Amino acid sequence: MSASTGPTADPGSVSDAQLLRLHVAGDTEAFGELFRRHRDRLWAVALRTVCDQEEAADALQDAMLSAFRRAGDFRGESAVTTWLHRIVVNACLDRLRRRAARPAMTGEDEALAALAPEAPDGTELTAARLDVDAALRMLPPPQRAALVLVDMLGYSVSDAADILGISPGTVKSRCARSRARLLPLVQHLRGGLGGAPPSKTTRNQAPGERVSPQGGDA
Amino acid sequence: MKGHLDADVLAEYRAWLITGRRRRAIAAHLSGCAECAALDARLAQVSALLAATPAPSMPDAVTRRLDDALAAEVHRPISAERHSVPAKRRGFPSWAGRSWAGRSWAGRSWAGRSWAGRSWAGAFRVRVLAPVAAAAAVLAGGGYVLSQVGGTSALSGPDTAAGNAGSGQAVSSGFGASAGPASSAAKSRMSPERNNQAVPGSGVYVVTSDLNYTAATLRTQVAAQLRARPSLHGTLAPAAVSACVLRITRNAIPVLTEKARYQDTPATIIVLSRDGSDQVWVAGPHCTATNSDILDHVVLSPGISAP
Repeated sequence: MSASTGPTADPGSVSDAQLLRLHVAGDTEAFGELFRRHRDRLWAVALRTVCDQEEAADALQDAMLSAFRRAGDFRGESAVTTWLHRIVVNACLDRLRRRAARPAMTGEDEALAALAPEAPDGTELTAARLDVDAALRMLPPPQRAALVLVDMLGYSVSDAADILGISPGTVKSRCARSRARLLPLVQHLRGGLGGAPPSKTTRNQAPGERVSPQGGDA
Repeated sequence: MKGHLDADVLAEYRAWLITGRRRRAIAAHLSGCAECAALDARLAQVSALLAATPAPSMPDAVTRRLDDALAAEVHRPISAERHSVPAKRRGFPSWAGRSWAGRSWAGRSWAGRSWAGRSWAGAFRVRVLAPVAAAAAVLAGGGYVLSQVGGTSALSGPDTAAGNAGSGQAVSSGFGASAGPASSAAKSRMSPERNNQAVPGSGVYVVTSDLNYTAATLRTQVAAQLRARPSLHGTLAPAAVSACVLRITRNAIPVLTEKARYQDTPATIIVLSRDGSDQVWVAGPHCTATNSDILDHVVLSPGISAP
């Protein structure tokens, strides 16, 4: 993930940083364009982190407006995408904290129903996704946020650390704990997915190191 | 190593959280224990499974909702509220004032193209109605408008301006009503934003020059032009130019609007006095009521346009 090119950026298009500058300078369309560029990814992060469609929409809206108003604070120390993701993840974790502080509003079944796919067919992958979502819900939110960024969205450990505001070592340990915890919950799915290679068309994978022996840098 | 490894240890091992002698011991154990090796392989597949899980696409209802929320934010009136909430937005970050010399504008046509026709674009259209209406009022206002503006110029008094209005040739200082000496007293009492707001009775005046501004020298060129301001004469801007300018300044009257060139292409230089500094925008030929086409933006701080 670099400052100048998001996953959808065309070579000749205006960079994220330029769009943010234009927004700060008063361009009324620049922020919309910037947000539109990344909203699918930001949505995926939000939905995976809060595991509830309504909460995810609320969190993403909070984050979007916050980013809109606080754009002048952006100092360019990180990529614009990192900054946007950080605001979204923080909005999600804030919501989860608030939700934890009040009596449960949404039962597991309702949450599952809310996550029901908009896809017209009940494909194997869709079924697997629902099960993965259910398994993810068993993780503590901070661990889940790290795992979602690294294993599901393909962020490097260092990018995830930037987004979450924690050290790379903490990202790694949260991911490791999450994987160990998920193992018994998703084992039955491995057969269903078989050896299906990670789909290039259904993932928003960013280039970056994986948490793997090859990628270890601690 | 005695006994078997558990998933937690193996997960840490896989993430390279375990190093050195302990790592070597685990590696040795894995090479000789089929049970632990199988657990390790299953653990590896957890990440693979997660990676293969399709990313959810944003439901249309959420897309619409976010569009609406952003449009509402963009439409928020440019009054006290708008400027008080993001106080930081007014304090431009250091990089905002930097000239973007050397950047590639190969994709300059991005404005209004890459996302034109999307729901975002439609959302912004309503916003510019007010500025356009203000500009129209200015044009229709005739002598009244000019006498107001004329009063702000050190060179042309109200009588001169009114006389020129009669002949259809609007000549004034070329600067907005709020920038002149006459309004300096008011400025000290009111916030610049409010003081600068376009109201019927003030208008955007434009000067035309054959200057060719460049990215590298934009600051010095604008500074020189602002110092020469009293000798510049402008005309009431056509509605299209007003709409573009007011869109960029968010309805505030600039102290200088100049039709010139920028990097050898036709451009409009717009300078707005705000909070003691001068905001300078360079708008390209495609700047309209609905499309800013900003080519460059710098901040002169402290500003030199203030009286």
